[in-house]
Amino acid sequence: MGALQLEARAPAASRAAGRREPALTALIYLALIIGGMTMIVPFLFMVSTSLKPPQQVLAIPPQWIPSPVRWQNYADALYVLRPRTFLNSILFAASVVFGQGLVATLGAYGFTRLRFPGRDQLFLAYLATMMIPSQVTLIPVYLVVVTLNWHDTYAGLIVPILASGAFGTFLFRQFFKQIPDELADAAVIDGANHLTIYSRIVLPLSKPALTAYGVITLLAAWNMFVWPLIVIRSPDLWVLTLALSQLSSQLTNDFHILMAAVTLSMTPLLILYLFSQRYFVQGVTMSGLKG
Amino acid sequence: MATLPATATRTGRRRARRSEWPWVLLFLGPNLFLFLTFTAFPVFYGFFLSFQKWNVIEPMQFVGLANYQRFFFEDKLTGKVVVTTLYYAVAAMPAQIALALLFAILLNQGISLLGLWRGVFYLPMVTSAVAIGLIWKWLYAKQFGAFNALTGLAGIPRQDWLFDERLVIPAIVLTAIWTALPLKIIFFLAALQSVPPELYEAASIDGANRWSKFWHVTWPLISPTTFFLCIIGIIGLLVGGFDLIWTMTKGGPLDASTTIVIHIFRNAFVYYDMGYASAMAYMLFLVILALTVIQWRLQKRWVHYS
Repeated sequence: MGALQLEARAPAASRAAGRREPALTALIYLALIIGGMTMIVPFLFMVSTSLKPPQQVLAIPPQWIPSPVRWQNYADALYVLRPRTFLNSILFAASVVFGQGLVATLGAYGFTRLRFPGRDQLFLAYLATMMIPSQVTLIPVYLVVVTLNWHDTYAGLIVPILASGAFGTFLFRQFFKQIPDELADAAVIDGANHLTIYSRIVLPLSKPALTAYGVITLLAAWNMFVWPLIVIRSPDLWVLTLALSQLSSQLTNDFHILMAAVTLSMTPLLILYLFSQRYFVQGVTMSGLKG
Repeated sequence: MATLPATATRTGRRRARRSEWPWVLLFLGPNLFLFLTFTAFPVFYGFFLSFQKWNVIEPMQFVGLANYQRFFFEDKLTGKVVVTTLYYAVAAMPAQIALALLFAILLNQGISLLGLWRGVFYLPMVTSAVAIGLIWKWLYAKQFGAFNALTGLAGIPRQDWLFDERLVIPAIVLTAIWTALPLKIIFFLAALQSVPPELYEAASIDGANRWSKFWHVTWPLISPTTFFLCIIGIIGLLVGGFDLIWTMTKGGPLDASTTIVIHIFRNAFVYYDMGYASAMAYMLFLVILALTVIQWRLQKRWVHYS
């Protein structure tokens, strides 16, 4: 909705600016092409490298078109990355998205629709911790995980990240507050309990926020590096970022395979992005600080 | 638990307060448990650790302010790390803001195929810093990298960008700017699109040219966004950047790209010097807190709201 409105407005703005000289239009497109190329060329070079035969990777000057195209690089990359790493990344991202979403929305419902002494003070404490960058608590959180004997386990990888939902709790509380009380009150008269109101009224009405939050959390989880790097030792538990980082030191002379692995690692999100760019943009705008 | 909603219905929400406790537990329990264990407790535990000497294996030992003293007076790397961090942040921030604003303005000119352009400009946003780091490491490779081929066209001799003490930070800064552009373009674009077109029309009637329209209409109205992006940009550069730098150089060569986060990480998870690393993490936190407070204070004075 917002995007449509804005796109409709943009021509109006340029109309207001008067008719644009052709030279200026050309300049605008030229600048955009240079900028766009700068953004996309590194990715093109990655894909190009990922399809080259080994001897061509080391050509001087670098060549753009792989000849012959070597698809085998992708099979090799999948072999060194291991399919299991993909499954780990999917498991991790899915757990974080659904776990954080559940914890955050339940908590936000509690903060908006339940009454108990100290509620607002508790919420203030949440707000206060949101300013603290996760890098600051990294060490103590790791030590908590060690104390729980959770290091190098899925639990250690996933559960502490679910706690990052303080931000989500805040976000959904803002959103839930806009839902008129009358809706829930009517449901109470019909005999609905809080769980019903949460799942049948509040959540369905929050679909836009849920989608945007889901997308941005997925993005963060899929691309997360420092936490897996600290907690995980066994290659069996590696996620993609960690595997790429570890393998890069082994593949120093096999850039074609490394680039194929990088391409593979980013493909799932890239496909998702191409089909739902709007939600990515909404999610990013909504959660500016998390970016 | 099944009887509780019935009570709530009968007596109304306000009077049912006591009977709501099981619901409070259900809705806030998991959230609160996670918050206390992995957010609230670590904040205090980290502070406590900053006064200890501890390598995780041997018993903890209280050392007072020794860790802080070590940072300011004994650690030979401190000066270098602080300078590198500031160099990195100060070099990247203005360029990030300026380029993002430039491209946001260009994207806002009623151009055709806007969706496609945005798709291209936002691409680094969906890519992990590790992937970006590896791609750029390959671009910067001395013999076979594309970057040297490009600079070679301008007559610049081949450089070993990531292995040269003088060049490593500029090289990483370039990558960091490139990485951060999408997020900042998105925010600037949203700000630009929220400027009411009537204002431009009014300015046109007054005979304003493009430049004065930008300077007197657009710039004041987007200043809250600019300011916000400057602050989150500088915070992001101070505490962020770990993934990228660790992937590209691991802080080298000869600590030339060791920023404060790399230094903290190395002390904590390579040397297992938890007390010292915690002390540095806490000081970093105080710096960020100060920046946030400055943001709040200055925002009132400096920024125009329509």
